[in-house]
Amino acid sequence: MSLTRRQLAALAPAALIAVGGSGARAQDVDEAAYFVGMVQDNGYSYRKTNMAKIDPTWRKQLVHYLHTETPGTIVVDTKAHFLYVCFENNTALRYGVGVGKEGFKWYGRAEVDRKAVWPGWTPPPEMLQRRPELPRHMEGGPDNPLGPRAMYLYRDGHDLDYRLHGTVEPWSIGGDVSSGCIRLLPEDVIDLFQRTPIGTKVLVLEHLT
Amino acid sequence: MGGLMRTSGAPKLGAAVVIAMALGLAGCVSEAPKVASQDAPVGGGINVPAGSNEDFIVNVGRRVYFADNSAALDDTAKTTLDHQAAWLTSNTSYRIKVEGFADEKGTPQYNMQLGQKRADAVMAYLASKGISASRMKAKSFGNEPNRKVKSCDDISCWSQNRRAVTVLVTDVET
Repeated sequence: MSLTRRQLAALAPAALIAVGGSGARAQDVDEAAYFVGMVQDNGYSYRKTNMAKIDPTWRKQLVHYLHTETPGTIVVDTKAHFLYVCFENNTALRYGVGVGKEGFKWYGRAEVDRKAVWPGWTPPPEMLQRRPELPRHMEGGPDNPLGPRAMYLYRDGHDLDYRLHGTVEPWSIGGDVSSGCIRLLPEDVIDLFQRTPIGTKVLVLEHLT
Repeated sequence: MGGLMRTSGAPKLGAAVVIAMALGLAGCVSEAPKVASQDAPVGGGINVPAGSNEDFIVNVGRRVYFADNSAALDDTAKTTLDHQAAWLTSNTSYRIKVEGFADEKGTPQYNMQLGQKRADAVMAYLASKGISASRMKAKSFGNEPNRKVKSCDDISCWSQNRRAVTVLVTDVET
């Protein structure tokens, strides 16, 4: 069972109510301008992000970052909308992220214990209440809001229901949005997936809001 | 950190200013230790020169990871190596040293062999993608203490240590 593009379009405005940050707002978005062509990936294809439309702040880059984490550790800063992969010598690879409502529900230390290519999606109960027309489960694929990859956070063997995943809405990177956890551009979530073996430590920084 | 040092080293300031700065710093430390503006770019930031070492690190990735006690390349590792091969094909001035590593389980001798098998597996795969053997060298570091990513008795360390790293070498450096 999968959503049609039309259903997905109907879903988009609700998912885009920005509550802060500088992510583009629904009414301003010329969605088509954010895409340039298609990319084949593991039997599906995704719309390639037009990087010229993405604020340089949110683009993947190597930065100086003071940290005491093991290299390879992922640090998520939900307030600043950044995700870091810690490297040696106080450097890190930084990605811009969009933070959904579920992304603010938890912080602390966890581990990536599960990874998925073209993940399926089960809308959380609150979301089904808001939008009863949604399917109970969506198979992975180009219309799936999780995008081409997902990494699932666990603590002591328990699924925290906290995920690092892709998005089909590149304009939502850098902002707060109503749904999802930690969203990355499809290109970035694929890149992160490559750098993240099972067992990778994740620190979601405390967010006082 | 830098801010704190600058504050303490600053010439005499009014008490109110000092307190305000101290409060500001305290807020910063407890809440958001890493503010966006502190993340100075390394090298070119988003303008990474194509064909540079930085380009290889940021846009390709030097590391592939292995399962416990295995030198087999999984699909994820192969994907990274496909990107490495493509990059090396268009950047012919570089040679590479593939460094193999193991986690802390097993004896030093065994880990040295495992690291070698991992480095060899990477080299064989890159060769199968058209990279000339004359451009590549493989070397194992096993679980050499000062080469570990980090030491702990947990998968978070093991998973980072079970790796092969493709290091770019230019002719000038050797």
